[in-house]
Amino acid sequence: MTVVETILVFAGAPLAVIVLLALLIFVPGGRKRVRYKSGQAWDHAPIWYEPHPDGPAAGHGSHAALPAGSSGHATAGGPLGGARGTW
Amino acid sequence: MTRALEAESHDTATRETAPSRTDEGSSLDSIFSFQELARLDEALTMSSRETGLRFTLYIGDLGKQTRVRAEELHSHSGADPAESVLVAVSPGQRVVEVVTGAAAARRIPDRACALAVLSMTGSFAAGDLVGGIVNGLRQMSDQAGHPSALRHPH
Repeated sequence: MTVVETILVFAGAPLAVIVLLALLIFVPGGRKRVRYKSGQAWDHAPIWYEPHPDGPAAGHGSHAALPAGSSGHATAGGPLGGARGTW
Repeated sequence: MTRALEAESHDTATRETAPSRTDEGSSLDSIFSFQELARLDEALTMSSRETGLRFTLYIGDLGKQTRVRAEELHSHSGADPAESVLVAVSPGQRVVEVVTGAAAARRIPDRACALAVLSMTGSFAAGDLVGGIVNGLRQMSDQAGHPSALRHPH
């Protein structure tokens, strides 16, 4: 093995691997979504998820669709329950 | 004689169709990844189907009076607010509110809600929003059990 070959194998090859991994990690545009950390500000628009309405497969009580543009009247059918928590 | 094509696009969505638009605008997975959204969707749908209650999840700011705002949202949360359960999470304020309607509160007592909230806040503090929500929903739906109408379908 010549000196050049030795340097290529023992220094060049590990360096190439390191550079490849660094590129994979630090290449820009890889991850746009920031992961939520506790105490971080939340500047997304409010969003409201609701369950799928029962499909035809679920043969029980069908939910009536909300009339378009309905604002839902507060039918006070009794006291509300629930809980709250902070973190 | 050629004219430039009319390239200006018009927003043709109506008030009803706009929320289901998926092809443009802000990307759907800007907050959660599609995988996380699928978990949330499954948790909401399965707990609603198993219990017959209607679980909805609100993520966003709740204003100064978080409880008042959450109860106001709950009253708009569907055709029958008495049978619906709202989980309102405000990550910016670090508050989670669970509101149960009158009928739902009989099946999920406040103590069970508090327990679910406790497990949610534990996960939230560790930065795991989706995991906490999924676990909280599971606890509440386990507590509610099956309604008698669903237990004997035929």
